[in-house]
Amino acid sequence: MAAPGKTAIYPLQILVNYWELKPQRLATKLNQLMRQGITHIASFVPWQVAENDISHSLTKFLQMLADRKMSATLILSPEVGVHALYGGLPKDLAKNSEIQARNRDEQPAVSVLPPRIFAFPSLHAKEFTTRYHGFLTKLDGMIGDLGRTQPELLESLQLVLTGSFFKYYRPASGSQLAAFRGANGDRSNAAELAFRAELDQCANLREFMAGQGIVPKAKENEPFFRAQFQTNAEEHFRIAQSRQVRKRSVGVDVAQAELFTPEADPSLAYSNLFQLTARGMPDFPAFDRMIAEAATRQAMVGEARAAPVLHWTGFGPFTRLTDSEKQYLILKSLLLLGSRGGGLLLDEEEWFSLSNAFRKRVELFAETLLARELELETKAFCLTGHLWSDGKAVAQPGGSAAGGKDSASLFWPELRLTLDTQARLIASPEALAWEEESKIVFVESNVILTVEKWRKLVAWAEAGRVLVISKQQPMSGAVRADFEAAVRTRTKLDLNIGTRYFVYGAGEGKLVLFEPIPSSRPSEWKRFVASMLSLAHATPEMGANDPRIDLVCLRRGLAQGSGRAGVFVFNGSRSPVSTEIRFENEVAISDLSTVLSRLGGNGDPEASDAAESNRFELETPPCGVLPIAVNGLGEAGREKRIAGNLAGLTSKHAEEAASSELAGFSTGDDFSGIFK
Amino acid sequence: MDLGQDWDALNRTLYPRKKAKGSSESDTVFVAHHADRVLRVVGDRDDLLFSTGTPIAETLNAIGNSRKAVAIDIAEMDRAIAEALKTDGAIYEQVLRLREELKPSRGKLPEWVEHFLFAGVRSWWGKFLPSSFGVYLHLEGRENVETRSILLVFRKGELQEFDEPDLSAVSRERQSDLDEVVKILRERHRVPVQGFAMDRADFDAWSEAGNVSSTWKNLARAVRSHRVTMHPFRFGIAALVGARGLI
Repeated sequence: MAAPGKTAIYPLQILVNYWELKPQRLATKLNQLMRQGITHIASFVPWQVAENDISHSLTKFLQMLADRKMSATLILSPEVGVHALYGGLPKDLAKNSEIQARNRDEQPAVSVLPPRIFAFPSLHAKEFTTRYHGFLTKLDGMIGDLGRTQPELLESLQLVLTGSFFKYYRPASGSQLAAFRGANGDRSNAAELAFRAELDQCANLREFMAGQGIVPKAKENEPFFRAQFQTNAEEHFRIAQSRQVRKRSVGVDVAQAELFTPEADPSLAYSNLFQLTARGMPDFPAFDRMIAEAATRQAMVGEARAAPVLHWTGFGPFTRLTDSEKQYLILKSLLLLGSRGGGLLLDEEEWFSLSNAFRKRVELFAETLLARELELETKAFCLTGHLWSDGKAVAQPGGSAAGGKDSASLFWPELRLTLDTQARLIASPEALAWEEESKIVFVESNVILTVEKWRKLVAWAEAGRVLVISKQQPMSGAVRADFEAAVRTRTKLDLNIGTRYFVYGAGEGKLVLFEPIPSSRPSEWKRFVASMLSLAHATPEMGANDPRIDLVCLRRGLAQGSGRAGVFVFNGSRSPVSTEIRFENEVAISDLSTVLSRLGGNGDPEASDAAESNRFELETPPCGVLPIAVNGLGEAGREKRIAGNLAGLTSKHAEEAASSELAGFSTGDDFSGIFK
Repeated sequence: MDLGQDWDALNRTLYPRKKAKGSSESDTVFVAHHADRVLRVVGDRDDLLFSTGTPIAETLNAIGNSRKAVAIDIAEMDRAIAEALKTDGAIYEQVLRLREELKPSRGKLPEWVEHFLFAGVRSWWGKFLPSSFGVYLHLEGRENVETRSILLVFRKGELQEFDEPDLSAVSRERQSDLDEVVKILRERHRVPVQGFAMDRADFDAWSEAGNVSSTWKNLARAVRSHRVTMHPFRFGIAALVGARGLI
């Protein structure tokens, strides 16, 4: 496996925690890994270990890597699934109930995962952040010193910073129906103080003081500002930690990631409890669902994307799954997250417990993903106030769901149903710039449009895209004035398909303003969302007729718009499933593994064994993954395929005519050479 | 000298993975409910996975007699987790506490069998064992199964330190003499250490079986037949193992 490039995350990271092994064992382990072709590993750097690193184990580890020309990714942020008590946090901090995080039920937010069930500290607590920054400064100093004295040790080092515990500040009880249901985030004293301070700041901003905009300190507006506060706090945390490690360790690769550990997720807390206390079976379907949650949420750090990485631990319920279940989850995680610039973090012993054939297959896909030969397209964005909260619409008197003050997710559940993993949830408009092919953004009703956000959204839409917002969208006074001036002067289309909406021209794009409808009319809402997707040419190109099947479509050669894709058919159920896969137009399908292994050879790798139709019947085994190559997807792909077929036919007819009319002509001659 | 705590090594040594194909199976179905509504079902029947929101009685009827159903209210689970947070120690101590605290609304938690090693140390053996001692396990692998070793240090009946000892400074010749190794560990960590050497497959099988009488009988038999060797041989320890095998 190759080392990642600058700030890129290699899709498959093998976890070997250097601090778990004494030097001799570590050396033996690294030698074993090299013999098996692994030259890059990942390791957590638990705070509790690094604070007391008397034996300078990290420096020795880096020396061992350099001696073997290996490279490593070090994950510095506090995380779960670390093989240390309290997630590797200093015990005095972890046990201090004064600085514990509180979920929205004002209870401790808990990680139910070995080696210890513990309550998360609040990342807002000053005592925590001050000490954490001190730890990062010490690490930065150590790495900076190495950079001066032994720069060769840092050449193949990558530091990774993550979003840490924020996404886990949710109650287990409220996460059972849907992992991120409800208005989540830290409600500890420290968080509340910080929230009030931010609210005061907003109230004093000119853009909120002017005009008819949303009032920051009005009680009914608190949910919107709270969502905004959570998002801002997470970004500030990330930026602050990034600054601490860039002071002296200049030139070292520092990447941002969003690390998901499904086994530690609150939605798995009760299943984990059962698994721990009764040796119950792991909750495989819940693990399967969490992969899509991780793949569809895009965290940002300023204008940079945090690469989504999924971590399967070497200590939790994942280890109790069967080999077939593990392989399914590993492949799905790798494909969905690797195709978005992220990847998979897997314990080394778990990796080598799997068959050689499977590991080779995974490595082939990892290389393909790293080379960006397979990419997950984003058809539609959904901008929300807080990435780790999905609300359900709360009906106001009068029954309007979309205008309800407590409503959060109107679009997201529908987009997930319609587009599955081709929909992307974001909390920052900066994410829009990263995926050119997406043509529409839906703005959830819990997003406060500030001047900066509004201008970014409009600029994006004006380049030929669609922006969908509510007539009752919360916005600052300055944006309200700007917005009303804009819609007053533009011509509009007034349409009603159960939901009344207005379409305005915005540069080369469109602004769609809709009127909220009662929550009792979900079919009309579905029709509206479908209509908007159609307006933006963002409708799904395929579907399966069995809900047990997940289809993941990864574009091949996205930049060229070639209409070629790798479609992976996932069956996470316990029985074989026969399903019909329908495409919106005729396509040719063949075995993807064969195609990928033929790439780089001569001729068309998909020529000989492709079947053509717009419907295919496929049987997928239980915990099975079927990879199929599809050619002719989408309008451009269909036209290209037809043109290719016609060109082939024309050439064949010309050769037949020449053979019959021209004496001495042979099809083996260089026909085209005559015309040079 | 501090041995430290290698959780990964401890977990993999005491709770080895069993490789299996296909989908997981279980004779128990776990139902998490809130009041009379089902929130989560964990079991090996796909038809039950869509039970969310159904009345619990309906789900329990659907489970029928083919599986043992255990239903626990989420308020009860939240309460038990809060108690587990107050428990000192690590996951093993917390699990014991959780089992004491959890009160299913239907059915009973399946029998949970503690690891035979912990059960032995926590039992009446405590009267005969010193307040601090170490257990060194040398588990010989075969073919594709690697050899493992681990030192477990108990103080006042609690497992405090555990890791594979670092013998890199010891010559190969001395490393192959387990009596020598135990002597080195005793001097290094200043606790009496009892070493056991055995086939890793045997230890894995006994770990899987847990603290049941057959485990102790098999262990006692293995000691008598030298399939398990003790380093050094202490008649008292052999007697304790033998006595447990008889009970």
